[in-house]
Amino acid sequence: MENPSKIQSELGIFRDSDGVFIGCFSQFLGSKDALHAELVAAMTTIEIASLKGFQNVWLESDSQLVNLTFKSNSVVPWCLRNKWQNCLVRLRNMRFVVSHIYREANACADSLANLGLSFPFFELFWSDIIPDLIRGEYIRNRLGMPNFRFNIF
Amino acid sequence: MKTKAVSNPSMCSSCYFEEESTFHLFFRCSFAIKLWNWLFSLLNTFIQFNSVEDVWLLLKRNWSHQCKLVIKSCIINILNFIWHKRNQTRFQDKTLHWKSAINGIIAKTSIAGNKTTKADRCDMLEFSILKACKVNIKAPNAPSVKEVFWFPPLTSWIKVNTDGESIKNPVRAWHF
Repeated sequence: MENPSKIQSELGIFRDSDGVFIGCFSQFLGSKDALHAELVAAMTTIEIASLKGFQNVWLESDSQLVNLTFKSNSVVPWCLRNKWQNCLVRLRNMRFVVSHIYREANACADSLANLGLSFPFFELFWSDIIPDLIRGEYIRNRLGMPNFRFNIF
Repeated sequence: MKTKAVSNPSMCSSCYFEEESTFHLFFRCSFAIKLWNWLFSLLNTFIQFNSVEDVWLLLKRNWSHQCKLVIKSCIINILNFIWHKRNQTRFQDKTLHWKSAINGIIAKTSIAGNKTTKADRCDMLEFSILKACKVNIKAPNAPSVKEVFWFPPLTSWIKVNTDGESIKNPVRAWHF
């Protein structure tokens, strides 16, 4: 899991039942491993959702490990344990679902990644308007257009 | 024995010219050089061997899986044939011509190359290597294409797509 030569960022996009953009966040994390970034993204989502008072939240991540983490806590690294427990407490007041999505279908979140990486500051970036970077993928998703996944055996 | 300063005559069994050592036998001896040159002409490259580990530099290029296996088996068979030839000359007083050694290497490599399930890529150099080693070219399977959709959630639900993204550190100055 350790890949210290890489820098990580976390990000998430909030959308409602019509696929309308509510907001997006991204944060630069520095030199961390991939699981760390995925978990911090999940936790930031929960924090923002509880701050904004969203009651029904469906989290979709392209990491299977994040889905597993919600079933058993043992995967969480020690440095995130405390924050993780706090998030679990916040989850008691919410209806919360986690699911997995293929990386290709998560293209909208993927293209936002460059945004977080281009600002090397550690504070959370929140935007209520759609960044130009993801506008194309956002419209594709909203119109229900497919993305394609290639498997080579 | 040599490190203990015991002097005993040593002679390379294939070229009768130099002292026998591992590095000389496998890389500097005239017989070995002929086999390596054959491999270099096959791979269209040249490497000056300075240590035994240098043979793995031949695999460093971006080979396809099948071709990599064939080259690896060529290298191992070359080493094997050099050792075989040395033992034949030393203990049974037989010689082995380098051309027949190459035929043996090709025969053994083709067994390994044909047994593998790994696939090749479309590349002229790789095709010529596989043909020269009498290996059947295994074409890769066509990729399976799957449609994936993003679905909006039910009414009054909010869907969050998250991701953790990484890139190689672009700001070099941070290392210093």
